[in-house]
Amino acid sequence: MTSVDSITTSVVQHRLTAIVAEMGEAMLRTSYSQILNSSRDFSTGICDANCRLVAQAEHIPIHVGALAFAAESVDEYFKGSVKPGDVYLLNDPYFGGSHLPDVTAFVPVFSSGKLLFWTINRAHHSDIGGATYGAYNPTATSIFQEGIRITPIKLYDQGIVRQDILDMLATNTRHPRDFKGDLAAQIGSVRVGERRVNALVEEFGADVVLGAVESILDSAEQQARQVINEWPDGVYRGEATLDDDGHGRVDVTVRAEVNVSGSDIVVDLTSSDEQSDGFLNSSYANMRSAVTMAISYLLDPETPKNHGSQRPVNVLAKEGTIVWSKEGAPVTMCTSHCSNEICEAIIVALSEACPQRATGGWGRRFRVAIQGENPKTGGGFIWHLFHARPGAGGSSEGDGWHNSGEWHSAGGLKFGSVELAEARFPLHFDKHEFRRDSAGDGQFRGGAGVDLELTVETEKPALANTAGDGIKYGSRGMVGGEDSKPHAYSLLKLDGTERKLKTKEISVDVDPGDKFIIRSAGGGGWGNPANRSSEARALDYKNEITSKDRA
Amino acid sequence: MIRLGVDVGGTFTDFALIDDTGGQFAIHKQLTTPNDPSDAVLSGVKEILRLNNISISDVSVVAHGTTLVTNAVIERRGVCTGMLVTNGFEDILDTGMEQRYDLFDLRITYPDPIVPRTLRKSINERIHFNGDVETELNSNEVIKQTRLLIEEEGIEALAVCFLHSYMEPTHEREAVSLIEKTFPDLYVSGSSDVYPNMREFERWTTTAINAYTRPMADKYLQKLERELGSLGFNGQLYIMTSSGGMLAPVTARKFPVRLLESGPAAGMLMSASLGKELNLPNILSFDLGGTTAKGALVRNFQPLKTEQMEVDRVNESRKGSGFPLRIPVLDMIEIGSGGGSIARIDERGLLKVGPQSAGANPGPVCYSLGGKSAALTDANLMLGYLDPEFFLGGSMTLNKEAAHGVIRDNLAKPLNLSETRIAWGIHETASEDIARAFRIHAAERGFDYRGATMIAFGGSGPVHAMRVASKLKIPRVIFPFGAGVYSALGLLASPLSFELSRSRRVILEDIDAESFSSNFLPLIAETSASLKEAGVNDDQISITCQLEARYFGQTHEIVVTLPNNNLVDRFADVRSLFEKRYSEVYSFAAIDAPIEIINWKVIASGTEPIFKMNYGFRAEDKQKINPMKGTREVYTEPSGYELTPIYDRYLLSNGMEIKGPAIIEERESTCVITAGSRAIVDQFLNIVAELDVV
Repeated sequence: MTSVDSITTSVVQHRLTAIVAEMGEAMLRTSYSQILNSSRDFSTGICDANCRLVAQAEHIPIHVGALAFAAESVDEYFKGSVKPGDVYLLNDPYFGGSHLPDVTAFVPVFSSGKLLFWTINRAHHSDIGGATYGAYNPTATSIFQEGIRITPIKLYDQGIVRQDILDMLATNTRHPRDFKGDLAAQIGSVRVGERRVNALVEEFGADVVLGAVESILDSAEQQARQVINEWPDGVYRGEATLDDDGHGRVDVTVRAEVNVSGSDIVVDLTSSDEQSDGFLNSSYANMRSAVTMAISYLLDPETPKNHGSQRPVNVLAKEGTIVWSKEGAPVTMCTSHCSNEICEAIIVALSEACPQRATGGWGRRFRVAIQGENPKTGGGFIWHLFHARPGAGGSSEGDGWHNSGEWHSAGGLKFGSVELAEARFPLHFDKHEFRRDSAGDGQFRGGAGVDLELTVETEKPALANTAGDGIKYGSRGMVGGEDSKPHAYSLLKLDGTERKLKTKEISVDVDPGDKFIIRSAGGGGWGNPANRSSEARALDYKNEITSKDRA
Repeated sequence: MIRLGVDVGGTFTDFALIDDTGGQFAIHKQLTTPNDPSDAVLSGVKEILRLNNISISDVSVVAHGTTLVTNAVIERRGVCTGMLVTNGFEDILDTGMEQRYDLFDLRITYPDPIVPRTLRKSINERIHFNGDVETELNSNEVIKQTRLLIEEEGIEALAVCFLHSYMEPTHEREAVSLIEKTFPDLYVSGSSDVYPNMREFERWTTTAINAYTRPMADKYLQKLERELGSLGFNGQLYIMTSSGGMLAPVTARKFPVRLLESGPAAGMLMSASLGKELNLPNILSFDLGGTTAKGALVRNFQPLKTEQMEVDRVNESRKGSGFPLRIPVLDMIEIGSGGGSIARIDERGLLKVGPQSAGANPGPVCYSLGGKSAALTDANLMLGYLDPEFFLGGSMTLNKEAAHGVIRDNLAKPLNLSETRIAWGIHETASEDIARAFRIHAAERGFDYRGATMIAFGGSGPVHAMRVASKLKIPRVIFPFGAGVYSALGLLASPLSFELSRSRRVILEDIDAESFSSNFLPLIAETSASLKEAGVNDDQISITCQLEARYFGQTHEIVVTLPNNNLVDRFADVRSLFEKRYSEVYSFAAIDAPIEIINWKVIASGTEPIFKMNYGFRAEDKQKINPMKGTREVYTEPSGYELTPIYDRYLLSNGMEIKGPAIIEERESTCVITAGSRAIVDQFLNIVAELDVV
């Protein structure tokens, strides 16, 4: 291996970071679905020929570190037959994917006939077939009710598209045009990456670039080890519990035992509960990225999220548990739940070793999708709740952020305009304010959740689905902080009756004029509430975050 | 007649003066007076006129660019400002900031809100999304809440921000006029006047900042007009906006938020103007100063514009950390490097340059003003790119030994590399970061920079330009004449113009030609009125109509410019115009989907000023003197230090050719001509360097 000095390494690293960012911009501009071009539910990355993640641009933390497993799956399946100009695709959670809506595209990058890198794009498609629109199906008991499974396939053969395969895939989704448009954007994105990596290799030579990659990974490892070394050796335990699985089981628990020894960590999830009948199960790759996400929150934020920084971490898990379900089980909810619980269990465990770096719990995802006829367009509409997000956890650095999202998104999703939503959908926002007293108390309190009232202005009855968790358990308090209030959603009918919404329902009847009362959870507090300053309490009261002046 | 450009910057106030024939040209510089910037403006105006024997009564236009408003926001020197909002939405100013710009850093912060939560009061009123009144405005409450804010909180300015006011402004306007009548001393801004576009968070934030800076801008501009008048000035005072157009003071005083970043905008505009002069349609404008750097793109002779900008970024100017504003603005690239960018070894043992900056004070170590960390300028000095005896034309001496020492002790020894390698590493890392900023910005805008020209100015721009260009494979770099006062020159190159856009979401297929044109007519009337206030005659006003539209379902709009103003006729072409533009931007074929128009936009402009570049240089005198003033050791990659010729920029004449490596020095900057390239001096005394890019 060519040894490369730190100056060249730094230049190559900057270039790789720029390439994945440019791949992301290309995607953002040309994608068709709102979930991609507005919510940015995609990620771009580069792996080397050994499927080690070298650089990644992530917009949402749960995507961190997930791409390498998908690359391994493609590499293994097509070993020896990969050619320049090929494009590969997969989504199957049992072949390195996370859940079915996440489709991953790969382009191999060659130099002098040798495979050097993969450029990769993973994007959440708005529909992937299956029994319900948008893949979130709380009633599914098998993956086949969730959508089409794409095991590793070759979509382009040396630059030539395999049109028959493409048409077959598109036909299996509800909106073939959107699917093809978004897939074209993904392929454009990985092709941009291929061109830029080629230029980089041309400029510096393959040996220098590969040498620099070794240094980049080694230095990230070194940086991660420095942080872990500060944590006292020991075995730390934590658990996190889901309300229910929607199929009759309550209190489904993820258990983490974390062994810190020097600068190495072993995360053992084997004693987690058995897998569920429903969609809370995690695929293997998703479980691994949930672990990576948790560790990334605890390391220095500047540590690059690549293969190197994950070298100190070993993971033990058991197939057949909620964190790693057996082939065939439904998994669509897993990028939210049980990812959040895997993350939370690990952070609870390690909060003893590094209390300064562990934040209070972020809120859980509780999504509502309303489907009906839009009098504004005369056509069908589907609206996903991305407002009223829960609060973030407090931390050693200060109070949690209001209205910021869950562990798995961590403020990465953009708050949508109320005016825009009202103009586009038959919905009326009566108010959107911080929910008083929703945050978990602590030396540094959690962020506030939101108090949203939303009137449905359709002319015909509509239907709503829910998917999520957290009406029983609030966001986790950490290091002596208190839990937040849990979510409380209900549907206020025109006749004045109020129907509580559960987190895993399909086909809830929604009549014109019905009002959704959405009260989202705050974030968990951090540290003993007795240590909160009276100035901070007075300000919270003044700013209407709390209803009692406890200063 | 004489026109005078005055640009107030952080350190210097620059002056440029030309007459309409291009025969007379002069520049002047003096230190900015931060406490009252009008002091330097007025004394500088007197000075440049005195030096050139010109009477102020011969001056027809004073064009003014200022950082006053930007600084007022950053330094929080505006007034105590309150806000009235639609009941149920008092938290919007906080909610909107909740997209975190770093997902893993717990320590990230945002700027404190311009209007804190306790100064936001709710009003019972509601407009439906379609413009219908849903809940009547409660006038008593408007008076009561405003009085409360004045008496208990001491507000001096107020922003009135209601939902859907871009659609139906009646409630907002009623409230504003009621307040103005009842509390005549209060400065009031309504969101539908400041920025009548959809998306409450951005509109309200923009309005809050407008309200916050209005009293100060109002007083400053009134004073300036008065004082210029008392000097005997009886021409027009124009104020530069962020979008590169000029405003009359009366409009500027109403909408000070439009003056943000007006100085840098003028520099970018100058690049576009030079591009027209030299017939170069595509340009990367690159301005690298002591503390900050800016870039902008010019496509097909037009500087790229946007309606989005951020002000008051924190955490080392991280993208996403500032207030997101919506005003017409030249689409500038934020580059996290400047001459003061500090070099350090990061936690992984790699060399990093910036984003921390030593600024202008204490500045780099070589300034000898107390700086302790190696900065980019220290490295550039060590590599021989800067002459320690000729910094700012010799008005400041740089300490090369000190620069050398800090690079050796703080960086070279710990990394076990040679000092030269480190200095080159700092230079190279900064160049790479700048190239990256351009690359991403261009990608975001679908701008193909291969074949484009870079125009470099600012103190350090010409030092790095060719290295950055070679990374981007740009074949040509221009070091323009007058780079030291480039923004002041830019002020003289821009026409009066005022633009307005209003949101009105319609599906193209649902409307007819008449309703199409009726969306533009009020905007045309409003924008023209503001030009007439500035003394422009009807027949001198040209109108450009634009649409921001997208395929139904998308969230990123593209701008479609209508080729002329016969709106009824143009209606039939909108779809094909959109499709053509779409395929230009995205290299994507048209999609079979409805077209959704989001924003309607009108730009009213006065006539382009006459701006000739033949400043009356007498080239024949210069040819008698050898422009090469000596040689010194200058670093070149990979060959190392070499004896390199040094040229005096002011002695170069038309047609001269200089082969790289070479250094060309001028008072405010130094052009580094890299090895293997050649530079030619053109008839306007610009230096045009051609790179060998493959």
